[in-house]
Order: sequence, then C-alpha cells, then structure tokens
Amino acid sequence: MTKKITIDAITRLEGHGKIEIFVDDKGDVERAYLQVPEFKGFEKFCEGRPAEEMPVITQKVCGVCPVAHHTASSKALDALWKVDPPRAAKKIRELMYNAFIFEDHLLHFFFLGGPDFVVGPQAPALERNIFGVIDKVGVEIAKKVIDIRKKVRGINAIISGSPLYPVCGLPGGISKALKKNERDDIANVVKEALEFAKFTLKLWEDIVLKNKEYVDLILSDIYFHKTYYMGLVDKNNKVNFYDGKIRVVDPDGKEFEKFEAKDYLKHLEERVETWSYMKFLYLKKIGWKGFVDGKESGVYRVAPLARLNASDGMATPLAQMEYERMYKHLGGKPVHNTMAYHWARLVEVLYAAERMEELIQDDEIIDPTVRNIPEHLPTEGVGVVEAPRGTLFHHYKTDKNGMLTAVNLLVATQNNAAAICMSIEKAAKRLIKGDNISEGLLNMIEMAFRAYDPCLACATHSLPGEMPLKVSIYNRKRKLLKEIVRG
Amino acid sequence: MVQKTLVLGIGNTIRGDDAVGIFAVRAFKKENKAAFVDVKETQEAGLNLLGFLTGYKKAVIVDSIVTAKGKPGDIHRLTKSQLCGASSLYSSHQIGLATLIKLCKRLKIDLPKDVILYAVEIEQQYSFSENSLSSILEKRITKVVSLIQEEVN
Repeated sequence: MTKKITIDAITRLEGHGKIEIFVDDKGDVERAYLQVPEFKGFEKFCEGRPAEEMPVITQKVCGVCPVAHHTASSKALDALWKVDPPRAAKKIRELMYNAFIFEDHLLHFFFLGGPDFVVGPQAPALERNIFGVIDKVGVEIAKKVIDIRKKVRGINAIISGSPLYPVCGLPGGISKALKKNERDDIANVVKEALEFAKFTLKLWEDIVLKNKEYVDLILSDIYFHKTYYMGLVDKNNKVNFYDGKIRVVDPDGKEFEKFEAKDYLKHLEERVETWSYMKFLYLKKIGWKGFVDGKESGVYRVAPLARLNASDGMATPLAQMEYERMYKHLGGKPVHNTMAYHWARLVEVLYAAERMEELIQDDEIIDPTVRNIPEHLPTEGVGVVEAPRGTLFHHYKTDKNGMLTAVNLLVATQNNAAAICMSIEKAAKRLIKGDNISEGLLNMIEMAFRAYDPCLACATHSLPGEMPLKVSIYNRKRKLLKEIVRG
Repeated sequence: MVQKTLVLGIGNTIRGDDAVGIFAVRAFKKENKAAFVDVKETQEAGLNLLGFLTGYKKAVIVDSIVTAKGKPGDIHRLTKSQLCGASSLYSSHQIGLATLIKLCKRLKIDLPKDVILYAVEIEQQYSFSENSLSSILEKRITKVVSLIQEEVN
C-alpha cells in the first residue's frame, strides 16, 4: 500500500507550495514532488499596455524580487528600443542591483535558510529560526543585521525612489542622476556593508566550518547532484549580477555554451508535467531525460552556487579569495553539494559589497547624463539579470507604437525547478525509512529545497512567509492515516 | 511630541482581491479628518514593515487573508498578543508580522503599543487584475472603513 506524506506550506494565501512524498508498504519513498500554485495570466495581463509601464508592473508580480524584475524589465526596454544607456546610468543601475542582492542574501542567511546551520538541522522547530540565531550570535549582531539591511535598502531609496519597489528604470537609462551629497551618504553605508559582509563570512567559518557535523552535512551524498550550471558572466568570465553573457558549464566544469540573452530560446526549453503547474526548464541541446542528473541530462542549476560554478571567479579581490577558499575546502570545482549554496551565497554578499564600493568610488557615477533618448521604433527586446534566486529573463514584443503584443518571463526558480524536485526526492529517499518520520527528518528534507532560496510566492506580505507545516500521510485511496502539524 | 496613529493598508494592486487592504485605507483616507492619523499603503512584507511601524503609538493594519474555514468578506481582528500567540515561527521565504513583533520585543526595538490587524478574507487568489475587487469585497469596504474609524477614535 502506498502512503502519501505531504509537507504542506500554509500561508495567508494558502497553497504557497507543498512537498508530497509517496511511501510504499515497507516505508521506502517511491516518489516525491514539489507542487506550487499557478498564478495565471500575467503575460496576457500585460499585453496591450505601453511597454514603458513594464518596469513598474513586473515588480509587482512578486513581493520578493521587485528590484530584479524592475532591472530585467528596464534592460528589456533598452533592447526593445535599441538604445544603450549612458555609462553613469548603467553604473547606478548596477549599484542599485548589488544593494538589493546584498540585503536579500542577508535575509536568507540570518532569517530563512541560515537557521538550519546556525541553530542546527535537527533542532526543534521553535528554536530553528531567527530567535535561535539570536541565541547563538547575540542580540547586538541581530540588531546589526536589521540595521545594515535598512541602511542598504536606503541606498535604493536614494537611487530609485523606493527601498524595494524602484521607479527609476526607463528605456535608455534612468530617471534621476546621482548627486554628490547622495554619493557621499551611500559611500558611508557601503563601507559598513563591506565590514558586515566580512563579519558574516567569519561567522560562517566559526559556526559552520569549525563544526565537523555541519561540514559533513554539506558534503553529504543526501544533498548531491551532478548537473549543468548556468550564470551571467562578464567578459573575463567572472560573476556579474547585472550584465554579461550567459555561460553554461557541464558537470565536469567545462564550458558547454555561452550565449547572449536575446538567444535564450535557442538554448533553453520548457517542459510541462501533468502533476505540476510549474514549467521545468532544461538545456535544449542536451534534451529532457527526466528528473535525473549527469552529463546526459539537460537539467541545470542556477543561483549562488551555480553562478560560482559557471564562472572563472569573482571580479573583486576579497570575494575572489573567499571563492578560492570555498572550492579548496570542498574539493575543487565544480561543487555539486546543494548545501554549499549557503556558502556561495555569502561569497556573493561579499562581492556585492565590494562591487558597490567600486561603483560608488567611480567618479563617473555622478555624471548628470543618465539617459539616452530612443530614436528607433520598438520591435522586440530581451533583458536578463541574475536574481538572487537565479537567472531572470524578460522578453517583450511590441507594435510600432510600443504597445505590447507578447510578453514572456522566465523566472529564476523555474531554472532550478527540476533540480529542486530531484533534491527533495533524493533527500526523502535517503532519510525516510518506515513510519517513524520525525520533525527533524522532515526539516532535513525541506533543507534540500530551502538551500536554493526558492521563490514560490508572488505577493507575500504581513502574514505570509509564516509557514506552519502540515504533514499528512494518506493511503492509496487518499484516506488520511496520519497528520503531523508543526509550528 | 504627540505620537500619531498609523493606518497601513497592505496589498498588491495588480492581484485582484489581494489589494483589499489598500482600497480600504484609501477609502478611509477620504473620510479621515484627524491630523493625528497617518494613512499609508505598501506592498512590502515582513521585516520590511518595521520602517513603517516605528514611531507610532498605535498601528491599524489592513490586509487580505485566506483561511481554511473563512468565507470571502469575513473580517478578522487580531491584536498584537493574538498575532504572537497564533503564528508559527517557521518561514520559507519571508518573516511575517507575528515574527516581526516578537523580534522587536526580543531586540527591544520600539513598536507601537497597540498593533491591530484587520485581515479580510478574499476570493481571487491566483489571478491578475488591476484596481478591482470582487463584488463581495467591494461591499465590505464600508464596513472595514468604519472599523478603522472606531480604532483610531
């Protein structure tokens, strides 16, 4: 008799996502699935609108990554009108973008994914959260996390008109130049951000790397998949969140392909599964071979660890040192251990802080020319950025008046969707044996997807995010046999 | 200095009924004459609400909700202590209002003495539509406005 175990995420908007695990008579896992609700019709909702509205509309698709959507959209408008923004505009956009990555990654480390390590994977749920982190690191550090995130979000309020929902992006640039006094204020915050990034990596070293149990967990086969990796790189193949070409490396770390954002449809394909609303992306040239890893499978991964694997390094000195340290510690490139996403995320925090410093020290950033006026008729444009959770594509087509006729978004978590499902299933198969399913084991299964920092939400606010988990065990006839609610 | 009361609407104006909190506070703002009341709206969430809440003596928050037994248009009133007692501390992607309140208490960050959440059960969850509510929600706006009025008086 097959039993079904459901890890059901209940939020203000129910159905944020749930994990379903099917167990046979012996208690072994047959299959595991990640299911998410479908948010229908955004592309159709956009069609017929002036394309210039997109940067402020698309940021409302998701309450988690508005700066990523705004920036990808602004870049799609540049391409649509065939207009290259002035250098100062590009630098201000990139500064805003790195500020966003910095504060978003910190949120994940201290509040969301980090507690699994800082407090412990099998710690009671009531302790495995920010309060457990505070117990471990102290009140002053927790206050500092809140303070530095607030200050860095303040950078984006200066640049873009809002700490999280920018309104500055225009085809050909941005709406407002940076003043000298604003630059000085930002520079002071960036200094603090850089120090905090260094501190956070030290914390990782002291709490995680000096604990053999945690290092073993990172290196555990439970959380291991040999896949392709994809990320945006600059002309030197170094990680870049804002611009560059998309590089894919194979499971041995060799460059498989490198392409411009506008060519994404030649390289990436979507697959639909009957049991999921989510579309699964895979590499077109390799093809879909199922939810399997290896060189013959088109499944690839994105986001922090994938970006580092797909690059030849970091473009800033301190982040490069941390990059080298990570690979040395974990046995060389590429690293296939999913739990290393947490470490890679902190390397990116450091890079984001260093890159902010480079940009704010660049005199060109206060150049008053921040927009080139489009002179061509719009037709079609693709914009790309590296969102915290992976590569994000915006693709627009318009009529000659700039009214949208087609919109296609490939969002970050879609790239990782197949790998996330595989990671959950592998962890479930390794961890669940028999009916004795502890809360700690279920958390270790969740860790398999939490490492990716997946974004399944679209409009989270006050109550959402609080996800008490419901574990339901069903027989083949879907009769509820057992239910565990935690939280 | 006289401390003010905040009326904060939370929601997403391209997600149908999700915007009920926004529309409610906009309707309240048209009627509000009290100088000691600030009316704001946001799409922000969780920890990011901290910047809105600090400095007020009282906050009345209006948001949307979907619960297992709720019917569209039902209005729940939750106090600060009820919020703290009812919610999980687990989070997959954001922290919620309850965690924020507990966090501020733990870190001795001043929040309004009173925080009241009005959570309105909604109908359309997974579709996009701009500046529109389902009719059952439209009819409840007047009621929510009167509840906000009672709270700020």
